[in-house]
Amino acid sequence: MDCRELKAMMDSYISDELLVETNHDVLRHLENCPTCRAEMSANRSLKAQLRKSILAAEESLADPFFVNRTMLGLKESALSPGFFERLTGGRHFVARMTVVGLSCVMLFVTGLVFWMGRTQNSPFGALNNNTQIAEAVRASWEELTSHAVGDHENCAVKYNLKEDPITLDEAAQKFGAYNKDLDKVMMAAFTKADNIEVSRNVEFIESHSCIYEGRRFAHIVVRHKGKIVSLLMTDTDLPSDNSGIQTAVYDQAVRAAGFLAGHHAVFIVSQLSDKENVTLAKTLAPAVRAHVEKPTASYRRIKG
Amino acid sequence: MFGTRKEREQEWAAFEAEALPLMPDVYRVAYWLVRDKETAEDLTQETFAQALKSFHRYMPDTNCRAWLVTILYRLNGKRRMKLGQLKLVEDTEEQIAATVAFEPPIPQNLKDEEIIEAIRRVPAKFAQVVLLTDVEEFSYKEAADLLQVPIGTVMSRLHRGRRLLRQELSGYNAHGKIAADG
Repeated sequence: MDCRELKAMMDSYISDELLVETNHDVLRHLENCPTCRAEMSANRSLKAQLRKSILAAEESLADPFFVNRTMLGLKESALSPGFFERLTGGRHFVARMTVVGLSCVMLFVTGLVFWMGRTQNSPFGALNNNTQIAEAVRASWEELTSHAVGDHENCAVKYNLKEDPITLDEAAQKFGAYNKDLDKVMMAAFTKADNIEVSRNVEFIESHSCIYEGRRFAHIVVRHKGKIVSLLMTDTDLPSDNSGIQTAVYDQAVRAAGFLAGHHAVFIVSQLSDKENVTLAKTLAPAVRAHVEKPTASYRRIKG
Repeated sequence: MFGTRKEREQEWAAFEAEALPLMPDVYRVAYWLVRDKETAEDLTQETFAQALKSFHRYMPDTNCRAWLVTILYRLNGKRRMKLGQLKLVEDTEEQIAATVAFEPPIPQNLKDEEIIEAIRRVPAKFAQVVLLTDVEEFSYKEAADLLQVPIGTVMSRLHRGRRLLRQELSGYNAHGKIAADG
């Protein structure tokens, strides 16, 4: 093999596409040709550098929330019962079939009305599967956030809950060991924070476990910069994620910042600015994640 | 997905184990294919929705990543067709080949940003092959299947793509002049 032949094969050699025998020919040539060896080495090095740079590039990395939401949407889509199963499964078969029959009649009548020209547009447009998935995932997170905000307003601000709260210790026995000492973990995280405004300016008010709209929260109430702040933790089926904090605004006043910790969603809800809520969330996230990952935090997941 | 709940759970478990961990990889391929975050997310989501629907066609223990990226490329083809971006044009590889005869030396101590900027400046047709083979480590055959071109085309595009990348990194554009930022 001469230099010209080697150059023709250099790309395939670098891409590991040559036959073993040809590889040996290439290696033999490289042993005796410093020019080709240097050329080969430079090209291989460039390939490695390109791979490293692309894999590390910020734009190459998928947003963890996007990944989690998509995964959740796919799971819901995969495990939801099919039409036939919904129709025939479970009890009340006759009642279901009656409803289906009536629905068919209504559909027929509606179709007839449309056909007769009362309207030009069909209301039964095909739904886009991706839109449904994205909507389902977004709805799940929004529902969690709105429950957290509702709990803040009805428990920490107005004390308007239907069921009395229980202590975190009692909740630890009944609903999961992660409740135990959660308030201490959170307050310790604030005290140790590098940010002086956080470490010196978060005052503990109370902690308990409460239910809002059927969802149970571990609820720690603190005061920061003169505002009541709720730190709320609840179960979620969203896949675990170790980065990303999402914010939401309710009625232009109450704001929430949320993140995931294992099988839990944690929210900071207050009338502070988004930036201040996010600062608190960032302070809490590592400590809470470490807390729920402790073996003693394993628990039976019971909602409500 | 059809079947009983148990069947659906089994199929989901297999999908979760084989396909879902590859979502970041598929997103990365999508991003460098379309160079836009939102479009890449849409394509990734659609790819996995399609893959879930047709997961029964996937052969276990084969190359799941290649299968997913194939779906991604097909969906992107459809998307471009809808946007009217997919045109059958004359192959300009020969014209470009004529302009890249000079092989400049590869500078040492390149920064990640310099490499990223350089690959962005390489024409998409050639950059795609370089990214698929050198970054994603697809074989020539897999890249040919993805791009729906013969293996020989993959080889020539890869050769020219790598050479254009070297030129960009050396501060030379395709006409052999010093680039504005070089």
